[in-house]
Amino acid sequence: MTAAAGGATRAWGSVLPATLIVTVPVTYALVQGIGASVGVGVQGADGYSLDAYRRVVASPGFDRSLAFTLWIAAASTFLAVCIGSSIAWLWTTRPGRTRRFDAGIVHLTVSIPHVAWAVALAATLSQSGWLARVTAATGLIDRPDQFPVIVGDQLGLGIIIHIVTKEAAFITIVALPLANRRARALVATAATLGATRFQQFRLVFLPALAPALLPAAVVVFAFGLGSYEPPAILGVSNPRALSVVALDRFRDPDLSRRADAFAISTLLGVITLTVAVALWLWARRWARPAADSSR
Amino acid sequence: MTARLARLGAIGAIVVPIVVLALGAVSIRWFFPQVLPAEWSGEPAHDLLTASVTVRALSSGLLVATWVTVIALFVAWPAAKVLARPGLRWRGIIMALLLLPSVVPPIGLAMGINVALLNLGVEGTTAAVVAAHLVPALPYTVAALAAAFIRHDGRIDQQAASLGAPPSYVLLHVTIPALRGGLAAAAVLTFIVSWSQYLLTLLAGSGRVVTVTMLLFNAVSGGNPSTIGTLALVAIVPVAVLVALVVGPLERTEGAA
Repeated sequence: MTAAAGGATRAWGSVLPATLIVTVPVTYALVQGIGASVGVGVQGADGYSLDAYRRVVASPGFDRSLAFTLWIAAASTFLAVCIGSSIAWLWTTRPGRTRRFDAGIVHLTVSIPHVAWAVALAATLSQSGWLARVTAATGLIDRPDQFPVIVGDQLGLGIIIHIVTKEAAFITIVALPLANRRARALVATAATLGATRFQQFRLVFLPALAPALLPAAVVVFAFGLGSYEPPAILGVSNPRALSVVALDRFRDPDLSRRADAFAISTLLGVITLTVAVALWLWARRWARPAADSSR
Repeated sequence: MTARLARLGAIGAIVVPIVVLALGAVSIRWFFPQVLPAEWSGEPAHDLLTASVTVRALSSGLLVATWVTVIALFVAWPAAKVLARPGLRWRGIIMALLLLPSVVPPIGLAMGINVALLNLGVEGTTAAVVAAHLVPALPYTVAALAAAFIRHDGRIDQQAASLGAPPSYVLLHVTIPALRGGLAAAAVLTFIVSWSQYLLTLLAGSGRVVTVTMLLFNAVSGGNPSTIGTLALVAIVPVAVLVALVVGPLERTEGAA
């Protein structure tokens, strides 16, 4: 009895430092950010006020920035999940001899610093970049401006490509343990029951991966919404991604502008939370069979 | 067949941009529409690599990442050991809490940490940057180590203990060697998370702690392929080497057959 109680205390003691180091700063950032956005502790502010939010929403180009940011996050998350789970599918159902090399490439992709990857994409995909030069070498174009705008474009394609490449690899890695341990056996069963490969993928593989895919999707979405480096390097000045606007306000010499930065980050946090809850509810509907067909 | 092509396309999509950077690093003149540089030289790259700014940034990044890795491993080890135990009631909650830094939009997290460090009066120091990096890095350390502990058969530790070995001996000569693959993977993952940081370093370090990623970011507006390529390679190559070293253990974490 005492040994068990002592063991429980030791278990808590073992886990506490790591948990605290991670959760305390994040909680502080969240609470402080919300507080600062309503004027707490910001110079020149006097009690609670929604001024920062009003300023942000009223600022020129906000609507476009918001739409731009949401679009990038949603498109990137969707594509990353599709591609990442497809790669996991291919790896699980067709083990090949090149596995270790492929795994190396996937891990390399995840690990490349964002700044470096954004720069690499810019050098390759810009209108005077390497791909454009190869196209010119084939005679299809003569001048850089004849090459399509892929980075620094109005749709954020360059940013999306950046996030999708990195995060699809991330999703692959996240999905693999579950894919190898659970999904593979289930897929084999489905195959013997006559399911086509696509049916196996959609109706068995993906749901089996859901416990890992759903949190991962939220992670990717949060990143797409609030990461700074990809839009800073691959984006344009109009529309600007909200994270870039936020950092700009944060570093504004006029300290009362700081509240704007936190208003934006709080907004991004709320959006992420909404999406997370929505995904969770949607997943629960899936996990529950619609009708009890045994009756 | 399509899978083959897709695979080659995917590998190309990753490798080609890096090669383009490498070509730029050793170019003196490289303009549109030249597919390969018109003039090559290793000199600008060499000068940049030996410049004191670069050397300082490299050592800062290495120092911070090493500290982050060491501290993270120390803190994560007991946590991972406990989390690997089957049937731990709070495991789900703890794992969810550890996920927290990753589901907060990075700009919000970075600004918040900056304010926290400011209020503590430590912002701008290397220690502050190390502390800041621990927040996104630690979840990966714990996850990787926990995976290693799950695969570890604790009975060999018990056997050693029952044969009379003191706990420190068991730890150093039985447990750690048995876990060295997972340990290596966890260490590399943590190191890479810290090495790759830009925004956190910028804000926590108040611009006083300069790493390679920051030099690279600043070099972008200059548009010099040699500078950009060289700095980008300095950022990427250590990562590539580390990944290559631990691909085996990483694959085992994923349960590859």
